[in-house]
Amino acid sequence: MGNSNGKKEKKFISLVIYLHDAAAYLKYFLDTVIPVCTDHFEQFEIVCVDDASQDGTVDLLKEYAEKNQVKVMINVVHMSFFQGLESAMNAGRDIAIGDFVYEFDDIFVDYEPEVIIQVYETLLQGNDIVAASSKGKLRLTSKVFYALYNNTSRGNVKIGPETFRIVSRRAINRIKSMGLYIPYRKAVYMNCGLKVATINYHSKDVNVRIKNKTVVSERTALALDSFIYFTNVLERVSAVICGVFLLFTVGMGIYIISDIFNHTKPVEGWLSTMGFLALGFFGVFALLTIILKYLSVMLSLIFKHQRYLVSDIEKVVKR
Amino acid sequence: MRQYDKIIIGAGLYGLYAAKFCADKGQRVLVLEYDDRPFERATYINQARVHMGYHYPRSLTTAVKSAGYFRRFVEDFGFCIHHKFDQIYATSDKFSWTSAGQFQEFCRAAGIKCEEEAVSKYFKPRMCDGAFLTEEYTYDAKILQKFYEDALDGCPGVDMKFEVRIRKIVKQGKTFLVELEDGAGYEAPYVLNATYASVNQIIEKVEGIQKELFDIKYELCEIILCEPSKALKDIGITVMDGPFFSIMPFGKTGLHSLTAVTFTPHVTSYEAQPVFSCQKDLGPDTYCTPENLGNCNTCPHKPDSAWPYMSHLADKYMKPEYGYFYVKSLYSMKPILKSSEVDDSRPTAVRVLSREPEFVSVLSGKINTVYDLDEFL
Repeated sequence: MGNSNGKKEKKFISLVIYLHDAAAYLKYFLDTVIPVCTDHFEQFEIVCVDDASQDGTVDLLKEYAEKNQVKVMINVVHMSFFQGLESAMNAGRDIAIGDFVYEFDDIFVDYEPEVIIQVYETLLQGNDIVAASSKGKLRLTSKVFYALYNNTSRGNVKIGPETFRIVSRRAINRIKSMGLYIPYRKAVYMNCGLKVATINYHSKDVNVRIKNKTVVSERTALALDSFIYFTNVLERVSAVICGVFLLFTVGMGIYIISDIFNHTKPVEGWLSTMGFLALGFFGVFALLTIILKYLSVMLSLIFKHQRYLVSDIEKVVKR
Repeated sequence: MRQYDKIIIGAGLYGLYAAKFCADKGQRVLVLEYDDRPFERATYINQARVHMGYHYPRSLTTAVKSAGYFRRFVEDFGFCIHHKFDQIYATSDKFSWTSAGQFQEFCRAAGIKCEEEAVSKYFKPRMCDGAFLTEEYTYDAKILQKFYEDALDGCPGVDMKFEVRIRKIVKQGKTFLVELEDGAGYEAPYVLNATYASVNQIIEKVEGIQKELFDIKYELCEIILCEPSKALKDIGITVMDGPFFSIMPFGKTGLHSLTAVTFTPHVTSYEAQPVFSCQKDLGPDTYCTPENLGNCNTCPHKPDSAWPYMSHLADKYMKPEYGYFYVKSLYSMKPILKSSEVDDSRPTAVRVLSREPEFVSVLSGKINTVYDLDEFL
């Protein structure tokens, strides 16, 4: 490893790392990433986002920094309470100062260290966002999600599973100007109109991975949210439901009118009751269609709110 | 053995201010200094900001007090003050503990100038949510030093000793005997400990009184001096309130100082005395130990400059026309009262550890609160 000509990259690099009860992988991750970055980059910083870890991840980080005499600057952003990957990483990216920012959504390393540099080199070839994606087997739920998402997304770039990515300052500026709140980074990056690329690698040791319950439930919620934010699946579904019921009430109306002309009287008062109901439901469904439209407009307004709460930014001190 | 009315330890601004103050009253004063000149440490190595209070939006008392002393300091020391520049304070859009609106509100409450400016004039889009033209100056420590050297030179009542190593300070009846490593001894019924980062070290050397150390931590800080571009020359910029930066004129030197909340402190010691790993690296028998702090700026074992970090942080915010080039770095030790961390206040702590004879210690992080000393002299 190391640069063949011995020259290090002059660009300033930030590594933003998501930490939530990740003590088990932290040492291996830092052992992998820090040497690679020290070899290739003259200047870099590490921003760890601690999303309310309960298992001593941050203490471990400090211990590691002290024991290994880590020279690079490490900052820890403490989230006030568990806020999930997306909010936490938005906070981390906002504090990072690098020309290029690595986003490690997960510190589980199932790739060769070289991939980290490959991603950087691909970025230099004129891409603004480069992701590293595992070719390993995907969970069925993830497969379904990506298939459904890519078929209904408003954007034209497809998304897939990503382990980490690197983003240029230009891309960060672009997505900031698109809206202040970023609910799902992957989708926003892919839709920002700049050049994107993906590096695929064969993952190793995936079976060692331990599932984290809070993370799993958060991911499910995020998947649903993303459908609402970035695709028109739910809008379409609700429009179809509204349409069906609208048709049904109209059909009912026609049936009643034909009854009146045929002078059939099934039960006393049936016609007037049904006529009222049909008219009433017609109104309700017409109104619902309008409300749905309003909701989708409001959704885009809500995008503009900042939505993370940070309790503290702490520098990992040297003594 | 020489007798004095007062012995002042530390030839920084607080020490020399006290020396002149007492000499003007006709007292005989001895100033003892570790380095070979006055003003070699924190008085010279800091942002050189004459605080008006803008820095403390979370501590109105500190702000109001700073504003009060600001006028007096500018009147008394106008000769060393540079005021012909626009001091811009901005609140960061993200991660600031104080928003633009809150900052304005705070300035109104503290009664200090705060005129809204266009954010886009200085900063890249969406980095700051407010920019304000304020009234704040910078002082030139070298000119101030010259003033005190001249003033005290002509004072018959003032003796100054440099490169002094104090062994111990012993209470003897109604006087203190200050014993030096070279065997010399000086007596006075009053000792002022104005050594800033060495304040606890000096207290430890006193024998015969009830000792109470300041609850402080120590940070080894770096101030970067840089050459400003034409556009930046007459502008000072401070981004608040959190892990941000400040770039502003450094006295009348023509240079700007660059500092950043996260990157200016390099190493930290949480002990009562300044204990740092670099002291061990220096080897035994050095001039810097946990008992006697050396001068970080002349130390051969300085940390690498945080210039890449600080400049990147500043570049992330400022528009490219406000450029600057690296000139050099200055290092000094900064003690911070642990009690002041939450509200980020910087109170002047004055402690009288003994009444008769009198032993007074002072610790303050700001130059213009030097007047807090008056009532203790």
